Amino acid sequence: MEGQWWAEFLSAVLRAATPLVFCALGVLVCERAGILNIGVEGSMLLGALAAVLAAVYSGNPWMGVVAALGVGMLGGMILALLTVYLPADQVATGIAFNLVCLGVTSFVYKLLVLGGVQLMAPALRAVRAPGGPVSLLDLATAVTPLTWIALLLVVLIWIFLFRTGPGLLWRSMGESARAAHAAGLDVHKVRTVAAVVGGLLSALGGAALTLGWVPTFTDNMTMGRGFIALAAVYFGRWHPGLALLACLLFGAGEALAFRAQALGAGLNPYYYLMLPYVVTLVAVGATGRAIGPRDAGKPYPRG
Amino acid sequence: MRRLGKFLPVCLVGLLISTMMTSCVQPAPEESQPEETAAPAQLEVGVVLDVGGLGDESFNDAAHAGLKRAEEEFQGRIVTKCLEPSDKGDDRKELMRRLAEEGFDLVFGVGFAFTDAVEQLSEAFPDCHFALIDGFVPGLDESSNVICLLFKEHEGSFLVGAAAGLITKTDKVGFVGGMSIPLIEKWEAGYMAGVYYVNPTCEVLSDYVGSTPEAFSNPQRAKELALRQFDAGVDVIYHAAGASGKGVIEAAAERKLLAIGADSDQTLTAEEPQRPYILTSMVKRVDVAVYETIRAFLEGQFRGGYFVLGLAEEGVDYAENPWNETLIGPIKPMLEELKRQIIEGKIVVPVNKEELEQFKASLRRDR
Repeated sequence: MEGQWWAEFLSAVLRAATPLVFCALGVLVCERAGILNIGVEGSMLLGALAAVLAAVYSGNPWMGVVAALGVGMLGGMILALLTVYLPADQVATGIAFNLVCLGVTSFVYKLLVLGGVQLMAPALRAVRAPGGPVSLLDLATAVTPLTWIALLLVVLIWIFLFRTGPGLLWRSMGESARAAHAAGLDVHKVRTVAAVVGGLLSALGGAALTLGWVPTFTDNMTMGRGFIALAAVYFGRWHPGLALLACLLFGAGEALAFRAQALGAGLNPYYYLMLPYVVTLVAVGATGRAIGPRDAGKPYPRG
Repeated sequence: MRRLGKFLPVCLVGLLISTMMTSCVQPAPEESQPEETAAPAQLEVGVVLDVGGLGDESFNDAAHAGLKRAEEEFQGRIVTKCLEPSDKGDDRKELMRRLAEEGFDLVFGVGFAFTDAVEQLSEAFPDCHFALIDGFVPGLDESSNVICLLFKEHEGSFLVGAAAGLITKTDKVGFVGGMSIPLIEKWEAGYMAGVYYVNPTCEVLSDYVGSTPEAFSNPQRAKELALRQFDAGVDVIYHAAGASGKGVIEAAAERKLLAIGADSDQTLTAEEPQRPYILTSMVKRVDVAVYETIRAFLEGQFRGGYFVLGLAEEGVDYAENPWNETLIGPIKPMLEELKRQIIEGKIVVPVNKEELEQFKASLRRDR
């Protein structure tokens, strides 16, 4: 019974954390190359809508994932154009991008709804669909494939950034773009790639939020999850592994909020609903001062 | 972080979307003078939806359907406009005011959250008529320019509760509410009473998505609540959570257990593979209320005050469709009998926790 409770709890944590992990990775690879990816929330929304639409029309959830990757890339390219080549202020561009994405996705969604399109897409289901996990061993089969992809990406990105030569060069862009440029690297090219990869991963977070959780779209359905991912990266000190832990912690706060009621203690339910926010506050407070890549957010002029 | 991060974009985008929606989705009606309300040549009807908006496959869509029906049936006689508030609903009063200022004859506020707005605007615009769905403005009479359209959701909830109590194999059923407010607790109380009436040993687990109106558009959290209840042995869950309810249906389909929809027959709007897992829906005919109000207005029969739709008025009911025939069929006679008893007043369905306890106590005495 105890084991079952933990298995259910952990699978809920993983469900809530998966979209955050994708987005956090999207933020992380960008910031390591010197781009602030404030547009993560917008990319996530774009990915969520594209994933649902493609899955509805094709009947195949994996097509939804592919579509999310497509629009994520597109969004990343737009951000790259604005922040790397112009280069515009990265914070302002990111906020504007989020606003545009929210407007565009809501607008497309309303048009579809008025057109009578049903937006319930086929979901990416866990292998073990009927019945929840009963032991910790079942956990592997009780989560969707996207969760495994997210965990795999954490490892791959960690290896790339911290254990390979190109990764070292990638990080140098974030620490000192000038030095990287002096060493003969093309700062703009690498940052463009970073922005595109960032958009792609954030959009994948949107796909995980919909296809991997509840396969439907509603206005502003990300509800600030992109910003939570942003917080997870800061809390995780720009390290993929620690950022993953941060995402799991935020996911746990959310999962615990439901379960605490069942555990009893008879407190007013509002206290439990506060839990995720309290966890976030305590976590951020406990980390103290975090210092990120030095050149993140600084545009590097061309020429 | 979540609140803060959301606040700025929401404020700005609310403006953006509302202007976008109003200019693109519905053609703006030409400016016209407010006519005499007795028999207006062309009635201008405005509807302001609640959080969740079009596409919630529930409450708002039902209101929109009623408006569309009136528009089709009274072609040429009415001009309609349907607005949506920003996703936190902060601007709902502004939208309503705009319609009143533009000289609309009849303005609907879809949802309890419009109560304050209707109360204030009805005084500021005495020539405009307001219809408030699910909200209660005290002190109205026939001459008022406000009509409150209320539903006896507890009666419909009682029937689906009875269905759940009869169908459950584990003697555990669940309830997932949206925002914890008296309106939704009415659903919960009616549901629990129905379960208890047919199956006194059945346990009911109950959870709420949240404490703000956003709770009605958070399907992810609703799904988590539903999964937790299923994990605890529940096999039927009733939701009263608007657009969040899609999460409950998704959870039921995933676990191959049952969900009960709310507001409209959600079997019809669900994805094909999900349909077998929707036992029934508590149908709340918001569309009928909207349509009837417009019709009465066109015929010069508008009366202020309160219009309460229960089982007797066919304002609420349980849903039947080709997908739930085999599930509902065997228990249908029982449900119809309960419906008759409620209509005749033999069963008085409780509307809150205290009445529920009294209801249970009186049943125990009778047995």
